[in-house]
Amino acid sequence: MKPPTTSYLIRTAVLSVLVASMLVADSPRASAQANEPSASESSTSFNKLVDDATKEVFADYPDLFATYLASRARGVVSQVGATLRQNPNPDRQTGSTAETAGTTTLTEKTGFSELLNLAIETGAIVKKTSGSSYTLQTTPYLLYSKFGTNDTAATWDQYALFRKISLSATFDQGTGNQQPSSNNFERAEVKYIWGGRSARDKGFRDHLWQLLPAKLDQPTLMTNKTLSLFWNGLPPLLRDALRKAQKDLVDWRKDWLKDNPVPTDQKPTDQASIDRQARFRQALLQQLQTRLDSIFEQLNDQDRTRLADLAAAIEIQQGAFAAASDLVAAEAKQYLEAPHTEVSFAYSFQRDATISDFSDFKLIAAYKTGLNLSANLNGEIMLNNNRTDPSGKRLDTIRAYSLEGDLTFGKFANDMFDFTAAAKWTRPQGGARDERFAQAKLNLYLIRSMTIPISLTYSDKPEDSTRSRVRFNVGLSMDADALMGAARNQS
Amino acid sequence: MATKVTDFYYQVSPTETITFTISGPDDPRVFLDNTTLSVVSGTSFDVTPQMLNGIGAVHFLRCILLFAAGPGSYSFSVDGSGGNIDSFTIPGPSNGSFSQVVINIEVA
Repeated sequence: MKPPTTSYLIRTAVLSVLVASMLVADSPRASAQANEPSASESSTSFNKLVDDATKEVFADYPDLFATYLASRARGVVSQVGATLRQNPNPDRQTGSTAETAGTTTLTEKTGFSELLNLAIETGAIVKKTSGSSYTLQTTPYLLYSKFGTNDTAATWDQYALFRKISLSATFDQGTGNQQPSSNNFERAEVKYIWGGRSARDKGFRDHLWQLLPAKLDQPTLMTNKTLSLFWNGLPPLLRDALRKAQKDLVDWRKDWLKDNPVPTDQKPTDQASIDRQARFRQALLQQLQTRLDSIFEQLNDQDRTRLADLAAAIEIQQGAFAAASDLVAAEAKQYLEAPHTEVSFAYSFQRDATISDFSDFKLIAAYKTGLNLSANLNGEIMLNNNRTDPSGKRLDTIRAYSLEGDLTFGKFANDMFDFTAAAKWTRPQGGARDERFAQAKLNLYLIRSMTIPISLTYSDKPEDSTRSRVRFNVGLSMDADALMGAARNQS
Repeated sequence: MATKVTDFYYQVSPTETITFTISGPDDPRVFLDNTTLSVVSGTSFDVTPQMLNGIGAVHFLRCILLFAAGPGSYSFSVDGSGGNIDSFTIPGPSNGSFSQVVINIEVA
């Protein structure tokens, strides 16, 4: 192996300083090194490119070839996962509302899942008798996105209206309904939201492209420039060899993927998947060795110097991608947590066999303060759907008014919890006295998409017993938005 | 006439224009060698003979695709004077919030 020349060392150092000076000050950069690349060393960017080349689609052969040929061993590629999955957040309503047989919610939230949410809850709050309820919530966007299979940024923008309409149904599975002839449907709700925020909004994406060129343009231009200098500086025979190497490798990859398909029921974390990935990687490295080593042996000093420049530029560009990804994640967090208002209007149909089925109209307003704290204030009016109760007694049209509010703190403790303190006041018509409730509720986010709500509710309205003023409610909710559609893992 | 040598590698004659169309969730960031091109998602852009060097030169069209809104895909269409010569889809992201596509254009 030949030692580096003085001119090579100076050129590499100057090149790295020039590129570094073009970047924004806080961008992480790999330091420029002057050592001759060793065929036995592997750079981080090379390993990253090899990993990428073992996926179904790979589109960066020139950089793969360059980093293999350079085989540098420096730099760190930060794989910041800035994929902005829509994990459950504290401003979404999960499960049913306070009027059902099984619920953990005293005050309803403005937001909801854009694709699907399932909840099972036990313990009543407003209702006299506790039971268990199952709640299914979705939006028309689930259908227009073909159950999430066509959930892309384009459909996200195109069908914005359908994402803002929530449809939910609650079914009573507990002891609340003892009549064998009736079904267990309990409540249906349709809700529309204004002001909800998502990191998938077009305005946010446009804002990102005001910032990203400063991070990405210069490193990318430098990579392309050094790639062109290296490639076009080679004699025609070696350029032909690189062209052939790309064609052969493309064909080999297709054959390998065809001969080693991924079973449809196999997950990326299964041992079989990991083993397959390792075999693919090993075979790919052998292919690179077979097709490129002879090219490497024919590189002269000037070629190797240009190759080192190119490898340095690729490393710097990888660092720029990491910095840009960090920027995307930070901007998304700032956008979502900035102070803003959300308003929802909901109409519900509630079954009530004891008095009368009723219609429930609710205006829900939320203000996110930007300090990990949000406040809700809701107004509600309930109208009896029937003129008389089952005994024939005449009923007023207006069943009750209600006012509710809460403060939610969260998420905290590594995004594992959020906490809500809530209160509700209900003024029923027909001479019944006011009802007042207070609640402390804790949501546990244990694993992706799953939430366990736990609440303690105090009521000054006696239920079955004058001593039963405190209720314990618990449930389980699954927000399929974090599993379906665009949020599903594509690696 | 423009021809496809293999995936992401095309040959054009010295007098021919090759046209690309990139469609996806955002505008791509596209560089031809050391020049930044102005490209809008869904709108075709040309690589003309004036932008390329002579026979034997290899040029690199480097496309950075942003996936700020989560996983998705971009579709590419490549057309020569004789019509469409290639179409492909790039899923992502594969590098943080981005994917990168490097296309070789050789003047032959």
